[in-house]
Amino acid sequence: MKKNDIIIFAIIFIIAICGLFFIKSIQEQPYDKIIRITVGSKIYKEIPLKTDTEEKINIETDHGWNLLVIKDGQVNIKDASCPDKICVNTSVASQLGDMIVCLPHEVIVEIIPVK
Amino acid sequence: MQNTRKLVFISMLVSLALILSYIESFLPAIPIPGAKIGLANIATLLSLSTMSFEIGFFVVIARTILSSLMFGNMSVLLYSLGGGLLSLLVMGLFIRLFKNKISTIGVSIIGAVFHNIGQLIIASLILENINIIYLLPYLLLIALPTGLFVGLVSQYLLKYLKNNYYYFK
Repeated sequence: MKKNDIIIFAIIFIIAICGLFFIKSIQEQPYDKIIRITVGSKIYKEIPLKTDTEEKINIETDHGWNLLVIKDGQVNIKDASCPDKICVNTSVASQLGDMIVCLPHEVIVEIIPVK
Repeated sequence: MQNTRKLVFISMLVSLALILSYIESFLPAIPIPGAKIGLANIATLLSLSTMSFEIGFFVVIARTILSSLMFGNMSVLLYSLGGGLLSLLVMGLFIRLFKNKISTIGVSIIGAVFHNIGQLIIASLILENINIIYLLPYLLLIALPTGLFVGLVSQYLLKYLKNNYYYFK
């Protein structure tokens, strides 16, 4: 281990922390939230996210399906037909900028502000 | 004799990468898309350090295509290829520019970081969505310990290889 290794580590760490602060600052702004589901490059559906929204959406794509559950102001993929199921294991999305991705199905579920 | 030896060694590096990918598929996955421990990068680092950039390039292409074919996951081929190639390029550059000022560990960390950046770039192009960049800070934080681990293992292996005449530079 050389000195420059530690410098590289520190630089990347600082950049990452700054990125996190930036994201947190955006999340703290009181925008209304919308859930945007995109499949490939097309928008599949957009639903406003409120604390009382309760819905189950089965996202059907050419590659498979993802079951999206919206409850208590949180968005979660409950189950999916993709091989790696990373999207199912991803934690819930509830804040601006939170994102659940299923790469094999080209599905992105993101929380965006109303502008 | 030297060429046969080299050929056998390159084949073993590719096989090593494939086995490491296979083992990694059994480990609990990190729930952020594109986050991996990247054990197969040990093979890439070994190639770059004991041979040349060209051999490293070959190893990355070979192991990415082969592992996608063998483990039945062709859909992630583009992402792995993009990440692997960008990571290789930057690692090769760093090795050439900062040969004595940086150790295998630093190169590995840089490699891990740019592997993630490469994958994010490909993902944002394919999904036509730039917002995926929100994942970058989390991926960077994960790249640090995984890059460190891969770098440590590679460094240890390189010491052994050097003492046993497996350097072809």
